[in-house]
Amino acid sequence: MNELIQNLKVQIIEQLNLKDIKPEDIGDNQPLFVEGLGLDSIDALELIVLLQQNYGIKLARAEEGPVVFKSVSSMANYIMANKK
Amino acid sequence: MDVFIKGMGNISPQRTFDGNTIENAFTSFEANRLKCIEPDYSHFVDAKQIRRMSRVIKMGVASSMLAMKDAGLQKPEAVIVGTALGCLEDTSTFLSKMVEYKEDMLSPTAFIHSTHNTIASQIALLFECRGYNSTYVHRNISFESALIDAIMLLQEGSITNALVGGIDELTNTSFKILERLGHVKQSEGLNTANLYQSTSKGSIAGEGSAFFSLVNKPDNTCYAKIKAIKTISFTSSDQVCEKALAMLKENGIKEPNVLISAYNGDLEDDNTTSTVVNSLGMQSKVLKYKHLCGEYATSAAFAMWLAAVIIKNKRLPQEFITAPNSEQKIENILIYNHYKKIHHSLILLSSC
Repeated sequence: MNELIQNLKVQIIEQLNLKDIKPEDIGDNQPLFVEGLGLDSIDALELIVLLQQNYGIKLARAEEGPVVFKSVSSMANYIMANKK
Repeated sequence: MDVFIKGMGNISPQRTFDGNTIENAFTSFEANRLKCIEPDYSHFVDAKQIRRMSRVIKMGVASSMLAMKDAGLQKPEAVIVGTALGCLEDTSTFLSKMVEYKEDMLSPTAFIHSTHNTIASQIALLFECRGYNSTYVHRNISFESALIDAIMLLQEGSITNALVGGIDELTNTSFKILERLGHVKQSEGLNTANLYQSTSKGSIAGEGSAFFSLVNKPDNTCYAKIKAIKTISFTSSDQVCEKALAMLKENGIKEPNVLISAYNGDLEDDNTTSTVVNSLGMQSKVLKYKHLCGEYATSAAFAMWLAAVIIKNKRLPQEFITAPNSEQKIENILIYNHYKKIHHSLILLSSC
């Protein structure tokens, strides 16, 4: 799980081009949107693409988005629960 | 009603972003590809906004901010951009990913930024300008088309200022294509200072972003007056000469003091340029500018920047002075540009 979280942090930084942020700057449970990393709706789309490209997971229901993308930990939990 | 250049911002292969001046010597390069000397963009846009911007957008945003700051204006009433190829890097990224991921799982950012009008939109967002916003995509008269639109708006009196720019980027992919088409000279033994002595085909590839804050009421800080502009397409060089002479006559000018010409080192292109230049004025001081910025579709914006700086200073940059202590009266400058003899343009500037 720890490895998955670390990988996710690297992938998020790369996908969203967060040049000034290092993986260690992102807390496992730190909110990704608004506060915390301050991501927005376009970033949410990028994160959906990230899940598809790297883990083959499609977000089935849009209403799951706020829960899945709450933090890096919640993303990791979703990946663990849905990976094939 | 006349239109005046009040502010300018220019990012080019020369160090032009830190001032609209001719004091700095221009640099020559041993290369067939000229890349812009860029400022630190973090001084212009905050990190959160800049991370999604590709290089061409950053160039556009920074040069437009420089132009507005130079003009002392807070917000443009209109943003009008001319670009032949738009956000080429983003388009290339988006198309590559379409192939790589078989048209699935595409990054939204590259898609959003793959359109030509992203540059004008980003500029408007940053200035919170909700006024007229338009992008002209018309090969090598894209900038001139944007300029004509701005002049018409200002002459109508519906706005008092407009931000107008010409911008194009050179990417690895576009450079390879230009090379394959034979539009670029071999880099071996090439020095931009000797570009016009070359007898081979092709020119040097370039890029740039020059923005202008235009106003319809002059003050003593204005650089120059835009007296006339004309685009001429799909015609012979004789027709271009005729129309250029008519334009000069309409504006009461027999021969322009300075003629900034389209010479680019390509033998065929330069033959056309010579025909037009020779018909326009034997007394005019003829300048060449494409060794400074390279050949690209909106290079006339660089030429207009150069012309405005010369008119404001009423003297030529050191590299264009051929005889010591030679005095040159500089009241008006005509810019003649063309590429591959298809679209020609004429921009006439005069002192305010």
